[in-house]
Amino acid sequence: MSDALLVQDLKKSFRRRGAPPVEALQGLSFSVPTGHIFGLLGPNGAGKTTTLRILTTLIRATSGKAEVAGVDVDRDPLSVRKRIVVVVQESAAEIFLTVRDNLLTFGRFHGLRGPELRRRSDDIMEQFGLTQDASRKAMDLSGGFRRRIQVAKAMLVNTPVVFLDEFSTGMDPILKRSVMELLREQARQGRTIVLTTQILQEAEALCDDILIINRGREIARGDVPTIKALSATHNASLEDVFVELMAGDAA
Amino acid sequence: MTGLGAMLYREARLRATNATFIFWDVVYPLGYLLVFGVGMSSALGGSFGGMGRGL
Repeated sequence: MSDALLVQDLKKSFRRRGAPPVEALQGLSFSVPTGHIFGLLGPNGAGKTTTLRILTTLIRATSGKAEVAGVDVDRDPLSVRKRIVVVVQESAAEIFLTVRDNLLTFGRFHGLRGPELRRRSDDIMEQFGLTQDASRKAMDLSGGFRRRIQVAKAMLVNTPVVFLDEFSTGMDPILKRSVMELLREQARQGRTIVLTTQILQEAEALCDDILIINRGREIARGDVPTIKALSATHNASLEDVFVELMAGDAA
Repeated sequence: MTGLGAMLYREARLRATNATFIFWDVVYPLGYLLVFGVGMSSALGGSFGGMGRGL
């Protein structure tokens, strides 16, 4: 199985005037096989969003190598952008457009057109419970509904890699459960999902592989049973292990 | 061309569903020209009819 993501010795430092540079990433290396759901976990300021921003070509690494779907993010960022879809933490719904127009516009940016695009938009709106609000503008909807639009857009197109940064923020438990099932289905079809979350039950339920980072360094890596086995406590949850690892790293 | 077509579609849908965009597209630039075009011209001694003939 080929790797959808390949990261080697990735470093990123942010320079600040009159202060020492902040080392956000200190030589991170990992790979994600195609069709896996990969969880990037860590406390606030661990470097999760920085890693995601490098992989999605929003910022450049200070050094190291990163490939997404076989394309180097530094050498060919435009090709990378055609192969990914990103759900960011901030609301990125087009607030002046209706729910339907949000999906139709996004689909067109990814080369979908005509009856096929309309059919897929209708299906996705149905799956995300947005059909009744299809003609309402995003600005008239609550934060949770705007989040639905963002994740719905990611599911509308067929890019090989999906990045989800805190995807479930503001979602009700019913929708969250159905989105998680949708993500599993997409992974079964060969789509690679990379997600960050602070809700570790979500990661435990979804992820095939997990990488826990802190202060830009790898703390633990493996599938859920492997990570859980790091705890001295029998039957520890992922959250218990996470807290133990962070306490150990701080010591 | 996919990106350009999608951008045009987006801009068209924005204007089809939001009247305020017409204000920013048409009324605001005309108002700007009126204040900074005609206004500056007359402040520098020109007249509206004389605009474009050089000061």
